[in-house]
Amino acid sequence: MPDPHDDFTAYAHAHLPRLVTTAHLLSGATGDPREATELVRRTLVGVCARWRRIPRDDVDFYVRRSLVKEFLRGARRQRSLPDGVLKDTSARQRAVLVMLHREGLREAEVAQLLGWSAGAVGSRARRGLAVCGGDAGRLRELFAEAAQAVEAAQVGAGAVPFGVPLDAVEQRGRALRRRRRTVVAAVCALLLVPAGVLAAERIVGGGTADGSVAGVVDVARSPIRIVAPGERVAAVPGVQVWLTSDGKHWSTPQRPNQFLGLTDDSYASASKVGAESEKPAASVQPDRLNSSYFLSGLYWGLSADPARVEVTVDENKMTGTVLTLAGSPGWGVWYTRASLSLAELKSSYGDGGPTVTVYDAAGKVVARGGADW
Amino acid sequence: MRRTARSARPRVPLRLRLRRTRGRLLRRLIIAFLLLIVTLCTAAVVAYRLTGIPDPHPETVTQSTVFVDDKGSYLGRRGPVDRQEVPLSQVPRYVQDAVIAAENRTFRTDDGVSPRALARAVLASLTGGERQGGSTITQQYVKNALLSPEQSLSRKAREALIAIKLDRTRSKDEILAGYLNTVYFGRGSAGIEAAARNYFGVDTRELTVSQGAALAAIVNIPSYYEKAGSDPKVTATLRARWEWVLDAMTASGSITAKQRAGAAFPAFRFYPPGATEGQRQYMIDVAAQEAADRLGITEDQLARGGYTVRTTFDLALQDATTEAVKDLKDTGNGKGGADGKGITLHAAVVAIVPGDGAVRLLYGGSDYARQPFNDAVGGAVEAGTALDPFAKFPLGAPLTALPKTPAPTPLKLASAYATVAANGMYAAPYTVTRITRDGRQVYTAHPDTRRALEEKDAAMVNAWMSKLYGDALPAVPTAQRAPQTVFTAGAGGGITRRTVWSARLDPRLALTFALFADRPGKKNTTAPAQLPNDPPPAQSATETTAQIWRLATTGTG
Repeated sequence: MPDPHDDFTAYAHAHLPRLVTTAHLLSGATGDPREATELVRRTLVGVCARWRRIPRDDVDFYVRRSLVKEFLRGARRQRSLPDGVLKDTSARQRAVLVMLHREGLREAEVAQLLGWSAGAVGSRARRGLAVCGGDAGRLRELFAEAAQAVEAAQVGAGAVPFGVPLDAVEQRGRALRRRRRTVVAAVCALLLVPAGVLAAERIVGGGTADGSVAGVVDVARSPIRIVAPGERVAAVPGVQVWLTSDGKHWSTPQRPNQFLGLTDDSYASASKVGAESEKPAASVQPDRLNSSYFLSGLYWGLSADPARVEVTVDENKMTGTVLTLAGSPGWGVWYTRASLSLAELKSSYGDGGPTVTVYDAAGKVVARGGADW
Repeated sequence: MRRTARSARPRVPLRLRLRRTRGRLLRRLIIAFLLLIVTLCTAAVVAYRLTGIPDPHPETVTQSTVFVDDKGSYLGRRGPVDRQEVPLSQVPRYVQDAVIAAENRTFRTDDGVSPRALARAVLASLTGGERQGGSTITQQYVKNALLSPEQSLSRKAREALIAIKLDRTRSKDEILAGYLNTVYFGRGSAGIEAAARNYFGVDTRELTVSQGAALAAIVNIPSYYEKAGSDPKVTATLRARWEWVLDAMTASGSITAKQRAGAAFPAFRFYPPGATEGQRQYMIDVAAQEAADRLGITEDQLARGGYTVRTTFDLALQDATTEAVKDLKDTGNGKGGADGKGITLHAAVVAIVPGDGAVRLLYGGSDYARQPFNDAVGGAVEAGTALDPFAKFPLGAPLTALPKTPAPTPLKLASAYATVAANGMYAAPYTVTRITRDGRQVYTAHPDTRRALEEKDAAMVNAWMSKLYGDALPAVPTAQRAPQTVFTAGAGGGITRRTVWSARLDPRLALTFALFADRPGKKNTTAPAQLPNDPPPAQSATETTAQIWRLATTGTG
């Protein structure tokens, strides 16, 4: 791979005289032309530093722009010129005049070069021309004379052409480039590293947050609903069930307004668990509808709401729907939506009638019971 | 010649020209951009300065008034929106945390708006991810409570400005309280108090961790999640979101891992709720009128004021009475249907605590929807012999006129019987025990008693009532209690019974039952009618009274 700076050296060597001349003209075309070489040297260091990024098909333009900008930057410090035709022109006007009448650029190109609008270039050119006599041809001649004077002054200046040590320029150019590169790298690092760390944390953190999965798969959980005291629930058509704090109420077309209390004496003695109603237990009350039977019942003595109430009639298992009052009182009413035919119910009484089993959330049996008749 | 040379120079190609002027263009763009930003910032600052925090709009200030029975059970409410405010101190900390975890996790630390949440929401909607809201709780509160519900970009900007201003001028707790009290939870409930009742039948302070997390999950799409419990798909979706809320709460340390593991998906109430018999509106009517009276405001003001009215009623007893009366009417109407020319049986039941005046039971009609007129309070029922006990004894104010009233209201006569039970001490019947608002008590009832009957006269009336009808029925099993007076009277006799009054008294309760009938009269009116004779009305009324008495005194039927 060839050193990209090779062609810089070649370019600089070839264009040095022209650059020095232009610089001299920009500086007012008076005094020692060698003063202009300092401007050229600074320009070339800058050009060398960014040589790789200068488009090869438009090198002249960028070098010229660097020169003019470098000149304008320096011109801010030294204000007026000692003497000469260009004595009363400003640095900017001079830059425009030199570019137009010495370098032969068009106004549009000068505008591109200086980063101004074409109008600004035109007006400065007119004003500059007016200041130095108003004659463009005269100005051109003046420029040509000054250029010749520069060339004459430089002939035989020694091993270093025009007093510009190109090796030193190249060295300083590279150093400048390295410095710039370091600064850019540092800034990028400062911006990117914290952002990267944050992003990494987010990804890792997000990973753990998404890690949990809903664990329990529930098999045929009983639908459980909270009811207000006295709130009528249409369990199956024609049957209403409601709860009060005392116990279970229900109405069927055959027998309206039935009640089964939690602490009913007659009920407690008849039930299989005895009078101790605090012990978890459940009961079944079959009710005749027109041609079928409606199964419902109570459970009580639980410490939490049941997860599942299962009714067994013969081999047939059904899931009951649960109604309970607010605040997990530990008792409630269950019923089945499916009705039972008389034959099914009768046959089940061979093995003790329908039974009900209450499971808790862990799937453990917490209460059992059957029909009490 | 020079000029021709210059014009011969080729025009710079566009590509080159663009490359040359790139720097200038870029510079101009950057300047324009900076200017834009400065303008926007200035505009934002000016807008922020000019934006005032608007007052909450009327719908979110209105609260309904809730009526509860003597044990605190929910009776019903009055008011245009189902909303009651609770102070934040009554909202359990885990419920607050659940809502924060579900809606806006950075709520406690952000500035009212969350650019990160907004960016996340935009990203999610662009990539088709899960629906997310970019609004903070503060913004939602501003949107719900302070602004009108129109949807536009300028309103969005205004909302953000107000949210920032609100965040800088009010504490997070105030904002959270405002939010929890106004946000819509579905099932018609605005605010956490109504939601807790409509979803779980409890007060806000009784919510469990599970229930709190479920409510917090619902806020996202209330109109969808309100079907929770009945629609399996909705329930499953809500359950997944509920788990997500609980996980977030565990991650932020609001609940322990043990609480998380022990949380079971809560059970919901029915929606719409199951019917309750039509009694409650009668009770609410009476209590609302009395509460408004006591507070010196109109019933309309009461309905919008957010009061909690604790009544003297016993809801369980009321329900049981309704069933008992329904049984009585079913048998009466069923048998008497043959000769009944559209005769409707009416019953009014009043139970008063003697010496205090608290009305425990007030049955004024079977169905408020068909008969909003309360027979017990406003109905004039022919007294007949029911006033006989008072005939020989001078009654003091305010019962002075009673013996001369041919058709008193059941409530009036019941208060007279209660005076007898209280040894002659009259107590004005009342239905409102106390009224609270925002956790403060604004009214407490004090029994208004005065002597209306000399003590020895009262004893004689009592004895007379007992002697006349006391042996008609076998004694109820609760013989250990203070001896009770059983009394049945009425207008008409034999097969031309027009009204039956039946009363049972003891020092703790005075129960009065009135049975009468009417039939459709001319021009949409009703005329009194004779009671059906099968079964004998006096007997069935007495039996029903005995049944209600048993319910009232033992709590079971």
